[in-house]
Amino acid sequence: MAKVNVDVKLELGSNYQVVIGIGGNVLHFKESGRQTVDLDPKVYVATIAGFQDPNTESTVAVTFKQGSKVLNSITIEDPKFIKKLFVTVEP
Amino acid sequence: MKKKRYSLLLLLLCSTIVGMAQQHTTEATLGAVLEQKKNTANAAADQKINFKSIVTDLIGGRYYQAMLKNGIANQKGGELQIKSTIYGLIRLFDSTRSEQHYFNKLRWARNIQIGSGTTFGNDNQLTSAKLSLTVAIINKREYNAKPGQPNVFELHGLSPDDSAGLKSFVKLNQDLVDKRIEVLVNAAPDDAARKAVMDKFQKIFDTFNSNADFSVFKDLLSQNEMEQLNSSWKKLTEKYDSIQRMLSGGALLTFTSDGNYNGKQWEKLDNKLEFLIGLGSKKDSVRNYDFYAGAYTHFNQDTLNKQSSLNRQEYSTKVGINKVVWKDKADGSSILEAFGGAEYAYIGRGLYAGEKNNAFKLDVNLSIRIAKNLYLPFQVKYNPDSGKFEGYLDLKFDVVNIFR
Repeated sequence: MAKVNVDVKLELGSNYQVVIGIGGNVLHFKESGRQTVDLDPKVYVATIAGFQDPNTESTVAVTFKQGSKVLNSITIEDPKFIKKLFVTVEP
Repeated sequence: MKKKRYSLLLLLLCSTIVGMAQQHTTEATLGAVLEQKKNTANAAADQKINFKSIVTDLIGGRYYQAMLKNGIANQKGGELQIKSTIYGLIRLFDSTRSEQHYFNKLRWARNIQIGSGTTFGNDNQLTSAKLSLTVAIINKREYNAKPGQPNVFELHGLSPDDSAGLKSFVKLNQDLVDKRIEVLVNAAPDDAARKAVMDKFQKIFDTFNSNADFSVFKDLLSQNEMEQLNSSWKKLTEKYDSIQRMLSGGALLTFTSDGNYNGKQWEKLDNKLEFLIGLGSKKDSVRNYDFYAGAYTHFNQDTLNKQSSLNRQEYSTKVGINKVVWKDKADGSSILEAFGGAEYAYIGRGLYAGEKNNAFKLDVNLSIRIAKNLYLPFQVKYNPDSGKFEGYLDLKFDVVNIFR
């Protein structure tokens, strides 16, 4: 098992909803922060869905990291979004 | 140090305001900077001190560059323009705290916008200034959740713990789409085969990530599964759209004051109080109506009479309905707006020869967006007394989006 950090940066606002699914884990973010999941080394599909604060025109940045290595990342500008991306966890 | 520089910037803005009424105050403020300059070794260079060096001394070069970069400051010819909410200035001058901290704490600062345009002559005297202040007195177009309180989604039943909420939706995605793709990718016999499968799905992801249409996964999903995913997402986004619509139609009451000072007297001083509230049905998600009411005072310099300042004084009021005819679906901003209403104007002082001191007019105008928050209105007014139509062309700044 490897520890994968999921970093979410929500710019400006207090009304976010971001949910990330990876490897059977479902992570919920209402503000910027990091959550860690344990994953076996293999390729995963992550789903990122949510809504930006309707008060603002802003961005959501999601980064998957294994140690200091960035496995994949995405910056989202859409006010409502669902995105999918590959995350390859190494041994 | 940051507080000092922030204070100095406010001092610059305030000094231009006070300067028109009490010019010696402005001279004292700027004089302190100039005095400091004169103490430097190169006296010849002092003669060439311009507005930019004054401002950069007051603000500090690094902040001045940041203001230019962020669009808060704009240098055009001999004029330095500064326009920002108080919130924007605080963020600029204190980077030690997170933006999230400021956004939650400083709602009041987002509701006050100040602007100035100042020009200094070769002798470092203030030659002209434009000043503006806009305050959102009531702003129901924004909802801020305090720590521990439900946010706007939860208030309106879009909770992630709801069975129809985002968590369930993401779990459904994992079960029906993601795990099936993972099986195909991880079953590939070698790196090359795995890369080929991932490349194929990456192209599908690229399409899906832009249109959120689950039909791109038709090879993985049954018809029922595809419809279930699409309808779940549609249900969630409909709730979000209704929350957005509720916020965008909230009441907004603003007060704006702006003026031009030139050649040691005021040329123009305008005040306006404007009220806006959304109307229309809940289904009207793309095109919405706003009720508008405004009261204005418009004092200006009669170009034919330069003897006294602001010698023409007009008071007016306007009521009508504004409709967004065409809205940018990507960011929700309006591209074309139509306004229909009526206005009444009373000229208190400075009547032209043959001009009546009051007029009632019917007003129709179309505003086309030519830049972000900047509109070009084509205005036609009908005067029932004279039976004549009048046409106007002007620029209009969108105050609604400033406070969003």
